[in-house]
Amino acid sequence: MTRYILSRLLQLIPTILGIYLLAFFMMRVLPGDPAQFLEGDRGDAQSLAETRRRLRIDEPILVQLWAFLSDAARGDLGRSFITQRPVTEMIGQAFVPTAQVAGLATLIAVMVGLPLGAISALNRNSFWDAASRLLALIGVSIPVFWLGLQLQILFGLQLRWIPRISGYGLDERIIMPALAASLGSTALLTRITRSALLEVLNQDYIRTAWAKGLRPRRITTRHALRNALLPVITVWGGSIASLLSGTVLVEFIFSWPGMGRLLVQSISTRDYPMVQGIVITYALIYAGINLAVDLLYPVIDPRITYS
Amino acid sequence: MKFRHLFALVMVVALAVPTLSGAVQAQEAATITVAFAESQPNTLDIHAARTTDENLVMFNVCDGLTDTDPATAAVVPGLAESWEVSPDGLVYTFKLRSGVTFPDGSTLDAADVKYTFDRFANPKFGTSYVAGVVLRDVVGWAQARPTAGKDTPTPEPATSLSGVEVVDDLTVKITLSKPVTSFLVRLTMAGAGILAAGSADSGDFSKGPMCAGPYRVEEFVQGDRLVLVANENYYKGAPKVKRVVIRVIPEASTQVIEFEAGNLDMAVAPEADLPRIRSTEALAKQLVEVPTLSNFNLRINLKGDKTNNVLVRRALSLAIDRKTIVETVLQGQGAPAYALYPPGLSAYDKDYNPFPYDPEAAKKLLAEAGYPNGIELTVRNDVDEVGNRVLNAITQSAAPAGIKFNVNVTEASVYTQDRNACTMEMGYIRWTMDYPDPENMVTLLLPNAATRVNCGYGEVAVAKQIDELYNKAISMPLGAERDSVFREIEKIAMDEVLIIPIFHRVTTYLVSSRLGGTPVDSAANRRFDLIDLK
Repeated sequence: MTRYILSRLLQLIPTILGIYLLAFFMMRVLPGDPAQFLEGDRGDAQSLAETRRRLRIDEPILVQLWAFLSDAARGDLGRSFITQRPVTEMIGQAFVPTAQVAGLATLIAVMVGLPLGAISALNRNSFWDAASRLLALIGVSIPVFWLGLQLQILFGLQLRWIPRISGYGLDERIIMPALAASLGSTALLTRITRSALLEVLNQDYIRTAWAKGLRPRRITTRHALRNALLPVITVWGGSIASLLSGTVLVEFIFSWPGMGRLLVQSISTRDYPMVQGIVITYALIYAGINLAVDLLYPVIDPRITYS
Repeated sequence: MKFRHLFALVMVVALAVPTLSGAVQAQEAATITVAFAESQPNTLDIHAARTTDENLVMFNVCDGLTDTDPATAAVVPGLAESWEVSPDGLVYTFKLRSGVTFPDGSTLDAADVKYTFDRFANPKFGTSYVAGVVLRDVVGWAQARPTAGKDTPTPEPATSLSGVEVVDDLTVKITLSKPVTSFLVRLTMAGAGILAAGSADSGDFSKGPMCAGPYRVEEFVQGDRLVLVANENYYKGAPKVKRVVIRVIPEASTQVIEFEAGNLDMAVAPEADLPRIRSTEALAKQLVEVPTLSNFNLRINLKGDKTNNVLVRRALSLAIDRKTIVETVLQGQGAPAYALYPPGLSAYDKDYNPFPYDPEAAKKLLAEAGYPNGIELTVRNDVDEVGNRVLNAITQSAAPAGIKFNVNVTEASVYTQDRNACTMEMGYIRWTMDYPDPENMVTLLLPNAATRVNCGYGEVAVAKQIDELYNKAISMPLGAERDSVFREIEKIAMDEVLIIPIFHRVTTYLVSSRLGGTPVDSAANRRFDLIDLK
């Protein structure tokens, strides 16, 4: 087991290096110039050249790459072109709010999505099934941007349940962003739980369980649901990772200072060190969650072992 | 897990939400909450600041030698209580106010002014284009910002701006290389604020610049808020608003909702929300509209293979229905622009309209220019929602004249790069003036001289004439005579259609009725020290 984890961690090194190289070159292939952004459209050619020299983007690309890699190996991701603050510090600052919303959103998704999917599967083709499937459909198709503003108008303005509508804080202000962010995951979990459970319910061993005369609740929870959990966990892991990367639109609408906003801002200002730093962070998040999901498999299904 | 229990848990959480809506934070009476216009400042170093959000902080934290009257925009004394100008217009001698203190306890003297302008002129620190706008006519600028010769490398820049001299503790002498009469106006720009000597050397701007303005930065939480506190020793008297929380709310519609909920005392009102705001009585009466000295226009590549023809340019300009665009797309947030200068400048002539909407005349001109079957042109823009809707409206209004516009939208940095490389036929420009003087409109819209590339301008026959008039006008004393020379320039530029003006912008804020005084000055800057709390 330890060996397995170690080898997985070792595999991370080439993965991250590859992702980093991709980000490094793609940012430089993109037309546009960070110096131009800093100077604005009123800057003259002379100060543009000065800025390029200061940011060291006038150097040959391989020199830039080497400088970054050798710094990164020492844990230094450089400084943001725009704010001049260390990239690691800025990412750290943006990650905390994102993780908080992601945490709450995941909680909502599990508490709503799992039961809804299960109810749907156990009462297949009933009214409840239709209702939950409709909800899931609405959940995946509703634009978050629109939903966010509607939530603000409803809860903030009309009902006045949430007096402080946007901004960062671990109080009523986190509720609406978490709700908005959870919508997609909730819908996804509902659908995947329903289909996974339906598949399991058709298995022979479930028929056997019925034949043995087990109580229905025991059949659904111990025999069916547990076996249906594998695909659910996989999808769930993916949705956590994407929530942790920051939900750009939610962060914009609710003025939440998270990773998504930071990334979009950094890309549009061609803040190379920031973008590179964020991409590495994302790679680590996804790799970490995938590993965690893989390690959960044997816990849920003892037939799976890593050796 | 038992489903029924889980379901019950969900219901409990859902029901608990309303009870969390605890008491709204009791707001201190002397605190106001506003929001940045766009996103947030990227820097709090005054010499690098240039965006709207950065200028908002600088205007309220720093004062310059001169200031503008909030109502008339006329130049009034700032940190300098008086000044004398030599008869040849080259030497400005400023007498500083005595007893002005900085938040760090030090007292304003001539050395602070010298330090500030030396740093601003230094290419390492004065990275904003504003440095050039303020200081380029001061003696020593050329040495501070040397350029490489044809065969010689760039010389080492001088670290001191020789034209700025300390005469005594409270007297500063600034010598210009040419007698520009707008110098005092340029000194009112947000970037020209005076720093305490040595205060910027640490390079730490987390608390903003060390200035003697009405406020100082208490804290800046990236992505969330910036807090200003009043300077109780402000030389014009302590501001009535003691604390200003400037929130980062990037989505303008959210700003309006926050304002409606009573969480913001001022908000930017976007065009898209205006119909709703106007139809809601409580909001409509808190709407404040301030004309901005600006000219949103189409920049034309004067050496483009179709646009090098003045008949084509004139046809394009005649085919734009500016009035309808202002009324529909902008919801009235602007005034049609038919020439260079915006209303609010003394050089503005409201009767001058060379481009009334006339698609028939445009069609004739095009036929004359050799395009009897119409013409197709590409107009570029960066990612700017309002601008794109303006361009779509222009496309529609120009269609009857046989003009087909293809609108091509790219990101801002790509757009600027292509514009400077002269690879675009026409481009949409959102141009807001740096300081209230017609000279600023001319330098930045027309000649190559100042800072921006103007494709093909050098090859236009009238360029020399404009440059001559311009050089004459900038040393003339402010007033009607000077304005008339600038109007002459305007006439030539419009006869040749060197740019196509579209509209002058009106900035719209929602301002809480509890804010009296002048929350927004005549230049559309939000100045918190001018607010009276009701």
